[in-house]
Amino acid sequence: MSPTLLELDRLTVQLAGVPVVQEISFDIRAGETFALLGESGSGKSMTALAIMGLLPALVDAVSGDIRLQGKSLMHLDSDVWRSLRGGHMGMVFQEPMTSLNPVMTVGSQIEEGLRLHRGMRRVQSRQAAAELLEQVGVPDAWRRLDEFPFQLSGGLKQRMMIALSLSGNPQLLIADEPTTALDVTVQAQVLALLREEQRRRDMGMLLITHDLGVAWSMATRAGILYAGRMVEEASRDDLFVRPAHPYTRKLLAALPQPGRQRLVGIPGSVLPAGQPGCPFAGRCELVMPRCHAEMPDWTVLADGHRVRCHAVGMSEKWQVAQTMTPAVVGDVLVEVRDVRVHFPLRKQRFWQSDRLLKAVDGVDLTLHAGEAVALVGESGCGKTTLARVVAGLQTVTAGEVVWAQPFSGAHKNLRRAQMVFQDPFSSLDPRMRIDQLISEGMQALDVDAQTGVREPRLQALMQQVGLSPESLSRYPHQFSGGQRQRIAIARALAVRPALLVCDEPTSALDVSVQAQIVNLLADIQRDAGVGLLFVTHNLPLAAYLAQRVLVMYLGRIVESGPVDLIAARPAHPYTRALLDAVPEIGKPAGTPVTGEAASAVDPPTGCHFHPRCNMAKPVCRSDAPVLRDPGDGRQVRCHFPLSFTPADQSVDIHPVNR
Amino acid sequence: MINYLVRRLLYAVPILIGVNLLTFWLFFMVNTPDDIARMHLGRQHQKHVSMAAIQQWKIAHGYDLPIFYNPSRNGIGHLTDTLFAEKSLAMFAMDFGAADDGSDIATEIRTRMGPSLMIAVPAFLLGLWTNLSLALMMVWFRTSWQDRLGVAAATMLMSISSLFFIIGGQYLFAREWCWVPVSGFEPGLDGWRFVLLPVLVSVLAGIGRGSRWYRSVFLEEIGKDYVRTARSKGLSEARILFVHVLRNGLIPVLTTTVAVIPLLFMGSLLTESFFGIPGLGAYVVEALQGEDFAVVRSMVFIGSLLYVLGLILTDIAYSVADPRVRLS
Amino acid sequence: MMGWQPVVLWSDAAFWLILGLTGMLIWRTRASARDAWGRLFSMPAGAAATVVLLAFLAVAMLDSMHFHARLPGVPVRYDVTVRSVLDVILQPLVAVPEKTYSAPLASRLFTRIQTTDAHGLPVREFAMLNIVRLHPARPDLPVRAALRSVLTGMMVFLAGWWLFGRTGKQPVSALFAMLAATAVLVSAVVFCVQVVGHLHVLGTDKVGQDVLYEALKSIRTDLLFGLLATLLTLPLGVAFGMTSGYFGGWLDDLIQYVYTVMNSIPDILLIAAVVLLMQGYIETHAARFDTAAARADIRLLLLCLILGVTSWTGLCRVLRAETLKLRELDYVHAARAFGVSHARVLIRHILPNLGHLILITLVMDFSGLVLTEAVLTYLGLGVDASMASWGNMINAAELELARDPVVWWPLAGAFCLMFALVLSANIFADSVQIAFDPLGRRA
Repeated sequence: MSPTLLELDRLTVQLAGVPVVQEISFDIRAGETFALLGESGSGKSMTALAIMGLLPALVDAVSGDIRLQGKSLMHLDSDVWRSLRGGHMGMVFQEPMTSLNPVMTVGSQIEEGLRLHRGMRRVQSRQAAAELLEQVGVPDAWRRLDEFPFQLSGGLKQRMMIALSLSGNPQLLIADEPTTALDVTVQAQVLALLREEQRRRDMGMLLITHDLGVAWSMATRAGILYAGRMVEEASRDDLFVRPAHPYTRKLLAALPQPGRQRLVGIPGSVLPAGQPGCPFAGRCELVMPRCHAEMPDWTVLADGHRVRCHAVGMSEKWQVAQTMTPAVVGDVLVEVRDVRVHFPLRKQRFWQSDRLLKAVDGVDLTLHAGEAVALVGESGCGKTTLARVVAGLQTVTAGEVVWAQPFSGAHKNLRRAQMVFQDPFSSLDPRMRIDQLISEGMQALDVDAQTGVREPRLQALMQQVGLSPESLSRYPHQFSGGQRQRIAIARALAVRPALLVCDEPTSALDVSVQAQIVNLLADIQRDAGVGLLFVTHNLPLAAYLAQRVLVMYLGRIVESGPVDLIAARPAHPYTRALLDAVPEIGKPAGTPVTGEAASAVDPPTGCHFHPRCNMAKPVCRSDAPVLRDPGDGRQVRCHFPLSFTPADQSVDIHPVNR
Repeated sequence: MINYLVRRLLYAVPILIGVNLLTFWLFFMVNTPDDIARMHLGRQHQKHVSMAAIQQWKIAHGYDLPIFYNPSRNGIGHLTDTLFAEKSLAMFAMDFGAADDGSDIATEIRTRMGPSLMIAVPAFLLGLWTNLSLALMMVWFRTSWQDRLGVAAATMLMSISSLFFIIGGQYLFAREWCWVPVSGFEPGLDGWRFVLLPVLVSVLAGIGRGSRWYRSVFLEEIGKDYVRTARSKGLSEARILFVHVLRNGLIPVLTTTVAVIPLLFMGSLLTESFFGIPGLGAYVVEALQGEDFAVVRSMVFIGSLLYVLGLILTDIAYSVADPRVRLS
Repeated sequence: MMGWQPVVLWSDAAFWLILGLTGMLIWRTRASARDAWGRLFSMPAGAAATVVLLAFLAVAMLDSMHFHARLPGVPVRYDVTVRSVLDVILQPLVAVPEKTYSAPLASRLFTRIQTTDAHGLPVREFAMLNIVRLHPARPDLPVRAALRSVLTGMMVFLAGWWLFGRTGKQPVSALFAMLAATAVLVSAVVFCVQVVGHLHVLGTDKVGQDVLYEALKSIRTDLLFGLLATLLTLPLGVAFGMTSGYFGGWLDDLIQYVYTVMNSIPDILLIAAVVLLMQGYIETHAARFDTAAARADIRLLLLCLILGVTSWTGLCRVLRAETLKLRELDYVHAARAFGVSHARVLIRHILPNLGHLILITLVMDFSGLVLTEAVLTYLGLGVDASMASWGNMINAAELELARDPVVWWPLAGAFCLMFALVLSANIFADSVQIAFDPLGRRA
């Protein structure tokens, strides 16, 4: 067994008097990846910053011990710290957009580290920087050295960031949510790169993530953080197959997976840290009186598998088998016909004609009453713009949106679709009370205008979304993210729309809260018969919630059809790549698709996907394919759809029973 | 780049036309030439002013033309022989006409530019250097008592009217200690004695606001993610502040600074009039006190011309300093 | 029967209107702004600055209640001169005029004047001050008064500490700063109350007028100037900033054009140009304003109006930028999806969320405008020479400093009060910015 690289011994960090990290202990060996899993506010980033000695100035107390190769990192000189940072430990941050200095060339930023930690001269360091870039898979490395971060795509920026963190040949790499800001195909590439570099350099790696799939695909061991405390630590397989802590079990059960059972949400929200007892006690089904009184000690279950719980060995009686009412799909509700949305861009040259960003470029789409349709794609593919077109918030450049049933009233177009936005913090006016927020639309559209009707209806709406009627007289800042999203849903439902357009309704939320919102949306669709059009980059979620899925790439729909069919046997190579890239528990990591989506300003000729497609033929470069119906109920925009090239060896890689 | 410049220059034209129209409206239509004449004559002869005297004054000062259209001329003269063309449009050709005392305004401006620059340029450079250094010092000691003391001192300095700095400076340095003359000016290098105090006073009066602003710019930069990345590489605080933060912070600082460079030609009203510097600032003060509308009008036009020039310089500075603007 | 007859000057009306509207606005927004006010009063500097500003405001309020005093005798007649409540309070300061300059707390004049000695022979001497002759006091009066005032101040502080220290509503440091500021103000007042009537606290000026009186009377002028000019930037700044940011397109282009044109004329020149015109107007229409006081008053108002319409661009720029951000926020989209009209979105969603920025910009502009008063007055473009203002005091001080020996106290008096007002306004502005926009950029 390789020697221990990093040891944390009862590390505690206090921020303004509140312990945000409490008595966390774990160790990492060379060549091992330890994943620190937790939801927002669990203290995982603070732990990483403490190891790097980069805690913000607000931190007022750090206790416990951190040892790197046996040497304590507490109370070090700033000079010693600086040689460790970058030299012995490197760190990759979450946001590649802001983590690189915008006015320095990429080369100079990497060379800084090389010169500092490897004592190189200018000529050597440039050579070494170029080699490093080649190592992390940056094409055209020498040219890239002289470029600025804004000239690079998100994925390349994160590769630069990795190169930068490796410049001092660290023995320990800390990656803090390294792929959270990236698209799923790029995420797969970056994760593969991190795995490869770790193996090659035999580094220890501390991976901070909230994504269980990412942790599964990367880690050898993992620890679960909850409210500043570590509650379970185990090898990857033990943790995911035999989770022992109730919180771990619920997290795993909250993930949407095909199979149609109801997701298990975790009721309530995280308590403020620093209280006696088990922090999870308030949300735990197995809670006992002593859980509130004392923090359980570690129980060792097996070699390297330990858990902090008073109820070890007990299991919950949650309704795993509870099924949902099947969706009733009605007649055609709305038809989107050949819609295009082009945004003019600022001219670069005086004489140039306007350049266009073709966000949506000729999309046809039919939605049925009571049907849930998922719009899937990576950032910049136009899915949000298309959703806004359907919601009536975006005027179209060409094409039309035709609603089937005539609606009455002055604002008839507006009552058909209402929108739920991604960010629950910007979607509620902070200066308005909840009742004012919800009744605003009812007033504007004259819904339930009779006296004595609106008040009970507001209360009923609150109940429908699972909030207490007393909430009506409060202000948005008094609610958590998940509760705000419920309020936003209530506001949309207030005007009785036939269709709810949801733009990434859960991507700003933690997994446990996400499950509650997903359940709520499913109930609304199935019980109230409201149609759902939801935009997401989360394929498992789409597969779980929707009956039909549409995959978009650079402004066009590349594949659409029943969700089971597409999830099981994708016909478009892009859909395949997307599905492959999603890190899921139990799925081995494959070879990710190369490259990143081009800009919608000048998309590739022919099939937009051809530069990234390993099956592209000359015809793909010259001719754009049209949407074809291969006869199994789906439509695909590909010259050589996968299911119809039986000679292609890649077809049966996917087990039908996903 | 050249293309961009041409576009910026073209954009300046409507602005200057706007300024020209606005000043014409204010000086000839809100306050008619008759009013101006009455005001000037009223001061000389007291009380009642006859129509004949007004007419005579207008002829003597060239205000006896119609505003926009002259029916008594032919051809193009319909339009050119008017107040608007003579007094307002002519300014685009740098023809400012004569002041009330008969001197040529354009000549006056040319001769007075030099002394203004003698004060304004050193004050500008020294001020920039001082403020930047103080700001960097405060940022270096951020969240410590040194920083708090610096901010408190800067806040106090910016709460003192520049008049106090001038009056106090003159009293202490010139009257009490007799290090420099109280006021006056001499062109050339020998004039340094006259320049010293005004420059010092201007710098001192600007320290409060300037250093506080630069400090806030640098502090904003130092809180950004890339600084954390730089720290995670193990760079020293000095390198982080003087290479990473300074380079980013200098962009807003430089571009706003560049904008005022053309306006240095205008000099400073207060400094010049207190220290007896025969510059453009003092010229304006004299014109204001003598109610010489022709001079004030010309200076308004020159001022906006220089301002627009400053805007263009700002754009150029941006595209030079910021690679995001330069290369995209 | 009333012993006085109220008079409302135009500037009084404007001042009380502003106070009323501001008070109403603070009351209306009390629920949503409670946290912000709480943050403001838990900052030591902010709390202390607020106390000082309120003291200045109180003086200005007393000086904005004008009346004609009733003359003795029947039938009822009223004095033609307009006096304010502050004048009545400060009566002891001006009751005994002097001949010319006298230093602070001096008992004799600063310069020799021609008088007659005991034998009726003419002599030139540093004559005894009238006030000292009429109301003689023990020579150690200033020292005793100082001691008493310091003691009073300490008692006020301790009493406040005992009263409010236990409520725990404020952090200890903020309470300390607030009480300290109050105590300093109280002891200054106590000192003056004891000395006034026997000595001139800040000496007298060239015509023998009490300098403290002059400096205190200037408070109203400068405060009103600052307040009114700042608030008059509101209508144009808010209307243009909001519409330009919200609607964009040609409207934005047009407003941006007007904005650039206004901005491209150097501030002081634009103001100077308009003030010159105003002067011309007042001179040619002198008949309309019956008294010199009314003329000075209307001049002050017009001056504020000019500053208001020439300096809205700063506010406009800030609000335009923020509106551009706000209009892309989802709650605005959500409102639009309900078919809420543009006007309603602007009033219900945009304006309330600009409130803190408007407040911050206004308080930041205030101190600058007080400083501008002095500069404008020096250039001969400011308030009327007959009106008490710090600008006028500084203006006179330029010559006084050239005398030998130097006459420094009028300048010092103006400096101290002006510095106190501007500094507390600046600190208040900083604190308001932190309290109302905790995440915003500091400038």
